[in-house]
Amino acid sequence: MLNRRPMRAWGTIIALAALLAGCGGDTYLVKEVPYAAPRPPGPQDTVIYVFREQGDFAAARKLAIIDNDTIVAVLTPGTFSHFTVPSGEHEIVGYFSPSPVMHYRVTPASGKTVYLLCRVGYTSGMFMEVMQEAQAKTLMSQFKYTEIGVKGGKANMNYKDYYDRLYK
Amino acid sequence: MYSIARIAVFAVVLVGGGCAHQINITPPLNTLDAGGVAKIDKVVGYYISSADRSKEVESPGGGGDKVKYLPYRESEPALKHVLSNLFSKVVEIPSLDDKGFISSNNVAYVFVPVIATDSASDSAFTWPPTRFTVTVDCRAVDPAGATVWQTKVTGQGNAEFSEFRHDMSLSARRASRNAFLRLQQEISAAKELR
Repeated sequence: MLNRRPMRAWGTIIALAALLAGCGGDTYLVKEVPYAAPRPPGPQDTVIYVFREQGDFAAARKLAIIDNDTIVAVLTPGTFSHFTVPSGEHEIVGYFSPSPVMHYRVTPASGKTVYLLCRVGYTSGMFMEVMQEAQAKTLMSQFKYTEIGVKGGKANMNYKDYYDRLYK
Repeated sequence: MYSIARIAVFAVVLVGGGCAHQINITPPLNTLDAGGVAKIDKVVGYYISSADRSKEVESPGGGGDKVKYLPYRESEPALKHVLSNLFSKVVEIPSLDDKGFISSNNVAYVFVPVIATDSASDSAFTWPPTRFTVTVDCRAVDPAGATVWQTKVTGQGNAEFSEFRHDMSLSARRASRNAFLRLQQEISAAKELR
């Protein structure tokens, strides 16, 4: 039998945080800039696009995108970003301070481009899923592109290890 | 004070009452390990109808809410992954009646899954399910359409609040992973498919 008291408290905290709280600051200097397509991935690389769906739920909250242990993007509703990584296993995490709330494990995809959509909604879900290129191209024409000014920032842990343990 | 309480109750009912929340049951593919199984040198296919692929299912979550998902579309990556762990090449079959496609691709068997799911929750205050079940009834047919092998596997997944607050679909993904790992074991052990 689960102890419901802490669950209730956590539920209240998350609901309040998601619904009411604004962003605490602009730690990573996120800015909207004109989109320019990245260079195609080299034979040992993978390009990863991450989109955050439009929606009012948690709209004031910035969603940090973490690659294993490094902050690579910050998304608000209706924005997207991309980054290039060496091909391999990459745990891509969506993080609403103070916790990760969604993740997707990109497996080795040499020379390929992966498109991820972050669902952030009360009924539309809170998860990250892979998208087809055609859908991603459509969203690129509708969404705004963002970059962060502070690159290489570290998360408080390596989420690849964390999610590995969660699925053990 | 009374008005504030009324507004709060109304807000909770409005926001939380009886909703269906989207989840995604695709397990992380890195958790579907081949486990050192030697690959069978055959081309195989799988078939999921377009009707099944777009089928959305609702099942119980917590607090009187429901969860909704696309069991076939979201299981397809797991099915393709375990087949790729076991066979040298895997192709998607557009139709079981497309004999030309099957023969031109030298497809030895076509796997046809039937997927059933169920869920439940111990929680009255959070909507993600704490228990999830995925059952895969899978048959393999030869190029002539005859069933040569069939099995039914079930995977169960549990998740507590401290875990699923970092992955709202966790119990479902654990159940899906367990089901497809069992399917992989069953296919690997099937002499009919060698």
